[in-house]
Amino acid sequence: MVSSTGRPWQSGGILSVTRAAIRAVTALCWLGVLAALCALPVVYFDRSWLQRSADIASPAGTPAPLFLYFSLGLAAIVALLVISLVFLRHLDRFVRAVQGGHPFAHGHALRLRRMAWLMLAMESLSILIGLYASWMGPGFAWMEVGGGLSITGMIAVLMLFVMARVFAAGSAMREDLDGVV
Amino acid sequence: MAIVITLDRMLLKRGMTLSELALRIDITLANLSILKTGKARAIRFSTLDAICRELQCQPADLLGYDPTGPEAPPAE
Repeated sequence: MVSSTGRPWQSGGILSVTRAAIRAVTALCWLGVLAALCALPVVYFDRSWLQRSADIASPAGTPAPLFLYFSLGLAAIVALLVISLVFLRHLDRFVRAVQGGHPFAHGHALRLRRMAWLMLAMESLSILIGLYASWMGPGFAWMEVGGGLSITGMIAVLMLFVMARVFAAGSAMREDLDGVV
Repeated sequence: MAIVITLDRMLLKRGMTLSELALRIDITLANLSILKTGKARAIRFSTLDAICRELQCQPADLLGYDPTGPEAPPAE
């Protein structure tokens, strides 16, 4: 058995910096959710801004249901932020475990696999939001919060799936090592 | 596992306690207890060497094989 204190993976400021960054991004995500929830009633009562920014061709004679379109876009953004919050919670727990000296603890492989699926959902949703925003017109460029299709994001998804496999092997080895005297 | 640990027998022969041996070979009592109760999955040569040195015995005095014992789990 190996003592779990003072190992190189626990030391260094990188883990502390990561945790601080996670907290900052989490706060930003909550702020985004709050802003989206506040925007809904504001735009509902004053739709002049919507009329000015929208560039949607409506069928002759009928006005486009702009508020519905706006709400759908906003709901997608809130969904993206909520998924990001779940992802960040997983990441924070993972980093905390590594800091605590348990990088190959049981369950980390499953956590990484979940993170990979969450990131895939974030990437897909971000692409959809990007397409939706360009359909809504240039006045809705602010909607592209995720930045649309991202190669780095896709690579991150693949990396997370691979890392999940690596950590599954790592925790099996850890279990074996725990029985060595 | 079909491998039987006979450390307790050797300790009795030498009149030494488990804690005393743990102290002498610089290994935690918990780990040595795992070994004594047969719950260990493997033993390092360095640990075996230290135990044999302190108890003045051969590895065979500490380990035995019982073919009627349960099978070990397959190695990964």
